[in-house]
Amino acid sequence: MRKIYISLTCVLILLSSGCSKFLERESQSILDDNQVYSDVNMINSLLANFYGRIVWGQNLTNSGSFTYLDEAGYSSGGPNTMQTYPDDLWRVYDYTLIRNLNQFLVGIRSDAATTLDPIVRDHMEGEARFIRAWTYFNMCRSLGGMPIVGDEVFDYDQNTDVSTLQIPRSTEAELYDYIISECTAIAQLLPDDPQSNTNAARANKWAALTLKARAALYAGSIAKYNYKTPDVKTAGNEVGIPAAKAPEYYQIAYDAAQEIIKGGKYRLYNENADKGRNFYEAICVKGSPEVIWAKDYIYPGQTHGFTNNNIASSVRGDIDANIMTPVLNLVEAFEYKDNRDGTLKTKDANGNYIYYENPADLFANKDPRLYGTVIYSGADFRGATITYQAGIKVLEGGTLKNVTGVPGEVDKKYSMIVTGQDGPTTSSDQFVNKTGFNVRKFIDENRDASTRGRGSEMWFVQMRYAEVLMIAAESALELGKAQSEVTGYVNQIRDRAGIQSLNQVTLDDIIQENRVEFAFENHRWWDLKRWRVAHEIWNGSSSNYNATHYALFPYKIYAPGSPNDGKWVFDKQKASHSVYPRNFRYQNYYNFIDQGWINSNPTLVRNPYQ
Amino acid sequence: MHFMKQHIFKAALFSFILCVAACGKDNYDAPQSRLTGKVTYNGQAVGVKGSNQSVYLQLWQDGYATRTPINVYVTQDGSFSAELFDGTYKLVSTSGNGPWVSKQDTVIVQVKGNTTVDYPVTPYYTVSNISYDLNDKTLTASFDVTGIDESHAIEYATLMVNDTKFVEIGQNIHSIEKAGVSVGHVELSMDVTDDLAESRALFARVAIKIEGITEGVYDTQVEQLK
Repeated sequence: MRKIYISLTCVLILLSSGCSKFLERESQSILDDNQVYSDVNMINSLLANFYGRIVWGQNLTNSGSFTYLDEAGYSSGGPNTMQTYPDDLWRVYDYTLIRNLNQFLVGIRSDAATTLDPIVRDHMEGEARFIRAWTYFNMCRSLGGMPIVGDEVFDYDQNTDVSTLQIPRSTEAELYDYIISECTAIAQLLPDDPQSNTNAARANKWAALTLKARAALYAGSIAKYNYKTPDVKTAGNEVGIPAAKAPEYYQIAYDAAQEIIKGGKYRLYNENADKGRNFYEAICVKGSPEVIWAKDYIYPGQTHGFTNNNIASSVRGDIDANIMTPVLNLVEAFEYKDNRDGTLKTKDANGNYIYYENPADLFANKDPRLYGTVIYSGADFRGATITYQAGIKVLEGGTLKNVTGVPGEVDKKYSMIVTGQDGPTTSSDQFVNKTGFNVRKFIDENRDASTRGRGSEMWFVQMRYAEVLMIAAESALELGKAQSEVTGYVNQIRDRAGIQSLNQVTLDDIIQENRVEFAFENHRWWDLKRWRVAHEIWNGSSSNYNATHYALFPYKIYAPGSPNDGKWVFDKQKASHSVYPRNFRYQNYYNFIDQGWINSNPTLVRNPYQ
Repeated sequence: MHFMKQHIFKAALFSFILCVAACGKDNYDAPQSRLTGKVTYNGQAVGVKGSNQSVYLQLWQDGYATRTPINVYVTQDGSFSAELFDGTYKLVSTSGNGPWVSKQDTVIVQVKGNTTVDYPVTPYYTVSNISYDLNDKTLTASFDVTGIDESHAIEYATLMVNDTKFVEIGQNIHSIEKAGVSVGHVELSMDVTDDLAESRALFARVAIKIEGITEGVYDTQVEQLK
């Protein structure tokens, strides 16, 4: 034993003397600020990290996020029993990110970065500030006014007076003002050539101006419409904007939109004579001249499961399908080309079924954007026709009786497929369609993209030119400009879509146009909130069509010898897997302030209803 | 080897004792005292929705560095209960949550053993003298609406039926809504033939929805029809 001790001691002495510089070496794995901020590639990788941290709300990595509203419902597995919106739904409170961005700004403005081309340096600073403004914008629209920390990087050690770190909330207007003024400055720093980056993944001047226009429009509409929810405000205006400020904000939104339009760098995509296909390509084909800013994905490494999750059963590449599927409400929200009422004609005036030769006939003359957004019965996907068949209706003694079966299997009695492979059914089977539709927007047509292993590199569009036109239209309307101007913007979008023009546009028309144009693009929730109409549309009443998810069940008629044999009829019914109506409570206009944040910073004022 | 064995045994014994000793200090007994009560107006319970944690009061306790409220959920008949440690609590309501005038009144509760406390509120409206009459296939509910604080108007009165005891706005199989209702006697009736035929059990309840308030004032009871 003793010998071992002696030899161990010797080894220890040897080790410690042999490495006298051990503790003074330069680290091989930690890069200091000078090294990082003098190298363009390193700075780019930092920015890439930031860009990866700023996707909030509805997005492609979370299929369930699309089921909260009136666009889609959960379709796979058991029924969804959400009754009310959580108080922290899509809440953004990321001061860690803001601190990291401020550290970045210190670095990029330091002497270490003087070796960079000054123009590149401006771009980098502009991008970081854009990401910061976007973060504040996401905080503001979910929580109202929050602490503005400027460029300061806060540090804490044992001598720090904690109260210097406890910054109170700004008013909602102050935070929007800060975002707007930042965007104005950022637009000067960033490149104005859309070709300067791949797949619109990085912010440029036009992204900054779009954010400015959007922020101003949000602030303007809150100022104008928050009289409708008099209790949704705080005494210090952390929530709520005085009505008098509305025109000022609408003017800022209008001017920013005009600058983008006059800049002429973007246009509505209009290359394909097939209007439905054109709309899909406008949003889902990378390089579209319409997209201003997107979250890009790339294989290998940066992919997502949206296509894998939500593809139709018959064209899937893996076991997964139908996690969320569009509801009838969204489909009926799309107008007909020449009729503003988009209600599907399943029954005649006397309540009798209308018999259709082909399933797709029901959707004839619908707004072509429906094709680009949703797969409906009879529509094609990747060369295959998708047919939804809930079952057959058998004529027995003068009445029609529903017969359903296992999806895609031949029924012994009728020796035919009774329920189609693509459903819909009301069973709780996994990956089986429950609503009679699938999503097309953001679904990748690359077959391998629907596998679990590979994933899809479809981008998620955050800003596009159509939104700029809609901002121009809405701000012009609210500023009382001539109807000819307002309709001009809206009709550009409707002409591209392939539906009739409007002679007169009201706010309701804008609500309607935004709903169908931007379905699944993370707009509707925020739009309905700022207009203060969410609690009216999603009023939690099960007798309200707008609040309740509906499904469309197509049936084939089985009546040998009858002229209607083999024809199609359609049942509209409540979606079996969205059990409760959408119930937007007044407290959902702003998320709750977390008690943990208040414990750390007692100056934070609680939000209404909290 | 014998030497090693002894040491291992000693180490094992020591850590075992440490474990046993440590357990005693870490754990509390579960709370034993039950706080129960009702949300009341003039001593009468106020009926609320009652499911999905929709209407709640909060219990706060002073004296700790950080605070987290305990939410106490109010059931259909206006009652609530919570298992607590003995101590002094503050019972409050959050503004705009229940169908009553928001006020930040604090009820101080001394919990020592099982305790009962009522939480007085001022509802905007109350419903009383409620009766349900099922005549063959038509269900008629009649009741009196009294205005207590009419700063918010009545949005509508509603009669609902459901196949479970949870009969609520948003959770029913059939309902009618009558807008333009004012204070006084209200009668609502609807045809429930299909509901009676299709459901194994059927319950009815009435409520008043108030403008600008998410929650309604409900009957404290549900009426079983089948």
